[in-house]
Amino acid sequence: MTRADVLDLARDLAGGLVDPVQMAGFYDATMHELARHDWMVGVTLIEAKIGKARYELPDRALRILGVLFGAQHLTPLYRDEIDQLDPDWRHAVGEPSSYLTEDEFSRTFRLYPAPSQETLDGLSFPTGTPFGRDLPPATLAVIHTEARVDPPPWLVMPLALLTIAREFFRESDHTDPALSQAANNVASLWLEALNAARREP
Amino acid sequence: MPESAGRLADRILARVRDPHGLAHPRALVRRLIQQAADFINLVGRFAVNYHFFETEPFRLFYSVRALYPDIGWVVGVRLDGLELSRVEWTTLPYVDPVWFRAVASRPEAWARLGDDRLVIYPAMTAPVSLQLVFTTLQADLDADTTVVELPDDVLPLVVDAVELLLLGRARMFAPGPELMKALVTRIQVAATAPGIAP
Repeated sequence: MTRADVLDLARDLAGGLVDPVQMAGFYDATMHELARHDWMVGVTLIEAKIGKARYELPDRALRILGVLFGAQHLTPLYRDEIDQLDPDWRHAVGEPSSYLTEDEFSRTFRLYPAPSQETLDGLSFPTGTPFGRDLPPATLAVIHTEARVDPPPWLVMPLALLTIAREFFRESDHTDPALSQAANNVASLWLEALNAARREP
Repeated sequence: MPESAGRLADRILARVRDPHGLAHPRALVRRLIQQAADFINLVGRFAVNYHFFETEPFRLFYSVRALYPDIGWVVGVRLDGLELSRVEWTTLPYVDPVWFRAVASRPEAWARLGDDRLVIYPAMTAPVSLQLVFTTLQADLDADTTVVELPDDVLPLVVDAVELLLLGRARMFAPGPELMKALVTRIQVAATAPGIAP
């Protein structure tokens, strides 16, 4: 299903009393919120540069779940920890062992220490796949949650309900807090049940 | 015997006292049936199927929805009839610090990365045929004659789920959250006691 299908479903479920422009904005905001959880995950390769510690996340990425570099799965560090570990961490250069995000909403992350090697020959892969033996030696791979325009099939109904919840909560000629609350509650229970099911072995 | 979307829609519309679909168009009811069927099957795993797929050399991550659009969630991966271990991908670095560079001739484990990507660990040197076991997604219910692909004893849950949504649409939403909680419990009970009508 596409974004337009979800908006169409939300409009039908709400009985047509909606503002399409507002609904589209609410859909995007809801998708963004859901994408902070690990329903939709992507893997992005980034070229490393010697001495460059700070890297930008791709546009669609929201939350880092893991960072791989060289032959290491890097450990996340918090600012307090790294300050205690190495007061001069901003100038450290070597084989990265950790990464830190500046803050939750920052679109950048830092490697510690900054790499002393860089990705050679760009990101080209002899067998066409970037992992296993094909992964160039000094390459960053970031595993992250991501927002998408079109949702996966199992998020269609929660997205439609949460979009309705926002639309009917705002001040308008069709404000309906009770409908908003009910849509929000049903969507939360829907997501909770899916979340429990996907963790099952 | 599999039930058609039309017959299920008739039952639902009768339950919400709109037998002719005047307040709730049949096309909308069919869309809701599809959504409810997907939800119930993902939570309860009532209808599963499998596909064989060939791995690619040195490839670690697979986007399963790009491979097969009818896949809901993968629930098992088999090699030569034997089940591979399912692990959480976050545990892989504890087992093998260079898990993303490891290569072998046979896979040892699989993990879900998000809900539509698979990690087959380790990456393989040559293609291997794996069997993906997955919960199915309901095909589009574009017509009343399309069949709902869930076992008969689960269909009352679909009816209840759609009724709950239509009650909300008719602005009778007070019972919604309680009905939803009860529905989830019944799906879980039905999933653990197959063959017993919920």
